Amino acid sequence: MSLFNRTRHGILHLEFGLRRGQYGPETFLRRDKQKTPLMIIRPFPLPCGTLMVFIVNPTGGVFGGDTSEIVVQAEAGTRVLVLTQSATRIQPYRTDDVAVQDIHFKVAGGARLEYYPERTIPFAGSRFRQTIHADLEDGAEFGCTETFSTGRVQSGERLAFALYESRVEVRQGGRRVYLDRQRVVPDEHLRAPGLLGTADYVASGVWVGGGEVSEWPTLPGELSTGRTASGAVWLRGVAGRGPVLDARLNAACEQLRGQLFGAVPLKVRR
Amino acid sequence: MSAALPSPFLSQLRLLQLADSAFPTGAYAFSDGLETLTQRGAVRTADDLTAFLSGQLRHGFGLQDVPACALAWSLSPQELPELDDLLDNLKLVRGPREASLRVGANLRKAALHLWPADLQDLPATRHHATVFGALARCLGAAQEQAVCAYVSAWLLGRVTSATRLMKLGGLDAQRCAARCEDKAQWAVAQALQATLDDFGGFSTLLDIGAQEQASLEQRLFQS
Repeated sequence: MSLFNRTRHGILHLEFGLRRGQYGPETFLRRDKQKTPLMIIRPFPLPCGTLMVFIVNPTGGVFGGDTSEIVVQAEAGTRVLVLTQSATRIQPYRTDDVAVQDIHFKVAGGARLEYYPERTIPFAGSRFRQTIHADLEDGAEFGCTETFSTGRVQSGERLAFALYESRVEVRQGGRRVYLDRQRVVPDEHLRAPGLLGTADYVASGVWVGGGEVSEWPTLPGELSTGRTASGAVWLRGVAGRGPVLDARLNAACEQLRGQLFGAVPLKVRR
Repeated sequence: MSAALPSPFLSQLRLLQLADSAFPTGAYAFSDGLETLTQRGAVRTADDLTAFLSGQLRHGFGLQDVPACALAWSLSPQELPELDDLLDNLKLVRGPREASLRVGANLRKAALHLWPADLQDLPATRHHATVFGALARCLGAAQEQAVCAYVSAWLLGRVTSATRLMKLGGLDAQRCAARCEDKAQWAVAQALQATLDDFGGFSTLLDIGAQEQASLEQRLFQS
């Protein structure tokens, strides 16, 4: 590595196991490997028994040329919730440098792993490429959402980034059950009907679980959910304001979790 | 034994026939979400329609179905199932996904009925884009001609649908299509260079609209 290389390669590997606790089996962090700027805050259990962990990036954001590698493994029977402490700000560094984030989840049968990060905010001129890959054994449960804004909207900066690309692939028992490839390159057409319209906040999500869904979260023109060809549940949502999107996404997420996982709502204190 | 390729003129005639709106594929029954957008008021005018079509060519249809057609023309029969599987997954919304499969099946069936000798080696593809590309190749059409015809059929199909969904005359609808020529050319050029890894795009509001289609109180189209 060059002394003058200012880009960073963060690594975070987490392995969750099950152990006997005071009140029965409990999820714990069996192993971890952390390399700055990726870190976690000490995991702590929610009232529902799920073990929650916050991913923290103490620097000012992710810069073009930075790479992040996150691997999370959940053993049979575990309940894991992975969150991020704050929004991920994507900042440009040198022209054409791309900030890259690769996330890999491995979920054993009987385990549940959920990943609901805070928003990604691509700054003017930035380039961001993310892959999220989940390998689920049969009987595993999985949930994942992602949201991004058109930029620093509060400052009036919209669609000034150069690239936002997010690829999410979920496989269960080796079979692909969900594939989403969002690639946003701003131009004069992106505000067209059918694409972004007037919205500045975008959400998507996927859930895989054994339960039936009879109540599909929906809000005409702003949020829809459905099944993929292979049975996973997808979500698409937009809003003009971030908190509005977050509230709708959270409500939809809990509605789907309840039906697919038979899970009680997550009570996360931030 | 493969049948000899038809002459270029004959190939061109057949390609035009395949892409014609009167070819019995049932494509006229599907709007793939445009009906919802018109009912919700997102597409009301000729300018809105032009913007919608341009947006799809640059960010949606043009980055998924158009390259799928191009690749169906060029890939080997062994590689084509992966292409169809990719479309199965990337078409998240059930309505457009099933429409693509149904139109593909109808297109294949009609073509096999018309030209059985020339299509003896037609590979087994399922989606509209992949059936069109594979058929065009078997009928001797050049790849760029095949992709142009596919894009033209989509564009003209959408503006024809729009005349049923909104206050828009036939000539105004055709003008909308003509205003998208540069975007259509761009989509064709991109598709001719595309690989399976290039598929992707951004059509969030169309996905939302297409999913709502089934619950519209009054509708003309199946999707």
